[in-house]
Amino acid sequence: MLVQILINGLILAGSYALVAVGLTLIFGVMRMVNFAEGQSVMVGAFIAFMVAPYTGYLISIGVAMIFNAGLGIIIERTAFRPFRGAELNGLIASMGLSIILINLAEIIWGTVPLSFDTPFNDVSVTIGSVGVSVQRLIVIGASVLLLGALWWLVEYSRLGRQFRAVSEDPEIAAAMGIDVNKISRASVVIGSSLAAAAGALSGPVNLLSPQLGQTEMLNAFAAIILGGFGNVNGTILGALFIGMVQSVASVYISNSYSMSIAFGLLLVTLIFFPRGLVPERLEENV
Amino acid sequence: MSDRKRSGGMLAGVSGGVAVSMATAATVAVVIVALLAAAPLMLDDYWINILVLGFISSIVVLSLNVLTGYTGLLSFGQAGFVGAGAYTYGVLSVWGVHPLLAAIAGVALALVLGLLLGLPAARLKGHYLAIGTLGFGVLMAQSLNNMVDVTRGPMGLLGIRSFGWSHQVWYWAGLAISLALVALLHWIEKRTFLGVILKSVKYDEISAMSSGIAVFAVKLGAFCASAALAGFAGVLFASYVRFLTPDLFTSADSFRYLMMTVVGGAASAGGGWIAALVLTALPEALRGFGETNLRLLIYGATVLCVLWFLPQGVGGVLETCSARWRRSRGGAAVSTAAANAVATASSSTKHPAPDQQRSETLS
Amino acid sequence: MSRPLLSLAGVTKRFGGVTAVDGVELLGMAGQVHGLIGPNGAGKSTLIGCITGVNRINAGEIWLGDERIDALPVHRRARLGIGRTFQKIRLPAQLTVYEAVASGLAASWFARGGRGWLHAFTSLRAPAIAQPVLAALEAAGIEDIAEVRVASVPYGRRHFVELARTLIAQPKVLFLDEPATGMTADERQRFSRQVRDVAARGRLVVLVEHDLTLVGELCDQVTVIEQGRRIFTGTPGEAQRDAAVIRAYLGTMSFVAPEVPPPAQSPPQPPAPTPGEAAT
Repeated sequence: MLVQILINGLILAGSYALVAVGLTLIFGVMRMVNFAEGQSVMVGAFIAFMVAPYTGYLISIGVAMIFNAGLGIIIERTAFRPFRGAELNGLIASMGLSIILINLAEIIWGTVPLSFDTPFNDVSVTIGSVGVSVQRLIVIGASVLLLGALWWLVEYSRLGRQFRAVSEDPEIAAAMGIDVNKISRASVVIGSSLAAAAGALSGPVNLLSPQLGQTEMLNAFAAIILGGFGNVNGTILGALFIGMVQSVASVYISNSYSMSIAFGLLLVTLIFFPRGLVPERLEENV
Repeated sequence: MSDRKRSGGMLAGVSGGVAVSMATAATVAVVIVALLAAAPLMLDDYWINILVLGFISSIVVLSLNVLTGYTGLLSFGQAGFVGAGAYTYGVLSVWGVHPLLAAIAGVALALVLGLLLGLPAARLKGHYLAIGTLGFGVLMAQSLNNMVDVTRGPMGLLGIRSFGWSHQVWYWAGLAISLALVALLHWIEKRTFLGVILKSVKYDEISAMSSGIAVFAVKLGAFCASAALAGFAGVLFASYVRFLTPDLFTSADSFRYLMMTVVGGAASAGGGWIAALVLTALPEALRGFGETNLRLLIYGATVLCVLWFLPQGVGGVLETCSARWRRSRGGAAVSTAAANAVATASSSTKHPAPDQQRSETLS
Repeated sequence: MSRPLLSLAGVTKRFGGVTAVDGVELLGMAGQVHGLIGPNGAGKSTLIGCITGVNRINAGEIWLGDERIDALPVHRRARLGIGRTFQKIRLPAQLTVYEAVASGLAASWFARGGRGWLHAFTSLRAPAIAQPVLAALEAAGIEDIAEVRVASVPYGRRHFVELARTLIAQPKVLFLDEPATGMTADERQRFSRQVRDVAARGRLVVLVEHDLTLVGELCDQVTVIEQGRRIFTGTPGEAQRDAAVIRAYLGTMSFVAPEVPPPAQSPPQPPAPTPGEAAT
């Protein structure tokens, strides 16, 4: 049972983390929340679904990520760049975009949930006393790999330093010669790719439908609040926490309330920490 | 002495200039309202239905105007208040409570929820507020879904008592109530001290506090008022459609209301009203294009286009038009304003010179 | 000697590991213009934040007349009679000047408990609002831009909007944080006159300024702050001669404007000393 809970928690945490990290990157750089991120997840899942019969599952994940990178460029141009300085409008624009994407998906793929089957679903490995499908292990493994790569990128690479510079203060970063537009684009591209991975990975574990990704996005929001907007490390930890809590809750309390628990926790956290668990900036000096 | 005359003249000039433009704006508005009032006699039941739903949605949008447009507080969970009002009315009426009492209870419960949410939320800023309210909306939707004993959850709540109005009466009631609220909110925002207080909180909290405004109390009040309005819309909705399911009050619906608000111009009650009607009617009007998906696609694209090209929303367009109208009517003889000032100051109340107010052409 | 209108004792404020204000004492009398000066980053604005309530102090006492105010929130202190302007001008940008100044009435209207809410639905053009607002606008010389949006008002004049908004509530103590920044010489003069008026009506004005000429002109007393600590209180003249103050400013302080060479059209300079005279 414990192993089961752990595995489930890690799977949930993995997809939440992939989505949340993308969101937190985008937020840190653009100061806007991407409400179309859930649809990025969904598109990634569908692309992988369509490509997998030809390239095999593992490569299809990569293809989905590349496709979504392109999607990210479009998203940045249409829903983010025009609204720098008017962030509320940007939020609403990404909402409008999400409606467009969901309905496009329904036109292309219909509304009936599809089953994304991969050969890995049928192979199991025994851990302790429990049989775990290889597919689920792949989900966990790939999540860890991607998140690790991203963490390395943000902490140690030049691009990562630029991300952090722009997140701190876009004006000063621009004055230092950083191309803020390029960094903005990069954040959305990376965010979309990670979302695609989340979709491609969770597609086989859940059913595939244009509504996919909404839950992941909502939980990712909770993770970001816990971990701090713009804070990659904190967000990953936040996602881990939420994934585990939901996994435990769905077994011991009830599945239908599991999301309420995540958000209930969130609200309680906000009551005691109105600035989030990880404070963003120093007190505003008046 | 001249000081007093000047201020007296300015006072009169100000009210005079406003009176002139309001007279013409009022005539135009009356014509439009008359047309709308006559609509039930010209349109078929299907469109009457759409418009009633549009009026009800506009009340939710007005609640967002108060919260977001006037006070600067984001709410991504407004559907939660609507659902609370709707289900309270629905459940009580199914249990046999008189509709009026049930309606009052619905609004009251929504208001209490607004207070409960406002207590933590009024201390949150920006994106934390957005996501906190989103969480509230999700919690409400899930609770409505899970409290099956009370709400019958996904099976739906049937047999809700209506107010006993016919389709036409619903239309006129919806039109009258929504327009009355638009007028009330517009008056509060533009012409009262309360409007100035709200907007001071919206634009700069710290200086508002230093001016003696109890910012937290104002925000809490805004949450309560907004929740009560949304709950009222929910009560109307429940009484009109008489069948409720929890999936009518999800985050997607909260987003929809927020989109209408922003398209209308967050701070514009009139713009919000128009946007609510248009964005409710638009998907239906596009039925000619066939399936739901294409219609909603166009809906989303419309929202994006308005945001790209009309960032101030419909309300911004209204403002520009009325400002241009005012200028064209009183813009002459700015240079003679000084000469007029002394001469007209004494007779200011009779025939106010709109030119005296022309200092605003600076903006 | 009358009772001090404002008194601070041992006021301390820490931000994380940094002590921004350290045990400051201050006495301000009614009718006085009290300057608060010191090198950049000395903690003057933070101190004002402590007195107005934006910053919660870690230690010490702040008294306004007979009332102890250091535990009160910002808006309550405002309603008791503390007004302030900000170093970075803070105004509701999208309101008109008229509306912005009108919002300042909240401090006096809500001063006596719940009665202020009866005023909430007062029309903005009703005499109850229009009279004090227009009077405040005229006193500040900004009645001509009453209907202009604050965001469109040129920077120098915005100080006057802030001032009018603060004065309309007739505060007992007025804090001005670097109010002369960006003002023309004319505006500076008008400003000085207004400050002297305010003090003459029995209020206390606390002025934070880097323009020491202005400080010298206006202030009866100055308190010098360095690294969060009060190092001197006295008249501007005395401050100029105090050793600690000079050290803090590295000897560059002067309350009197340096002598400016006369313009070209003036009568010719007196003849240079002949080689025979000793040059000292």
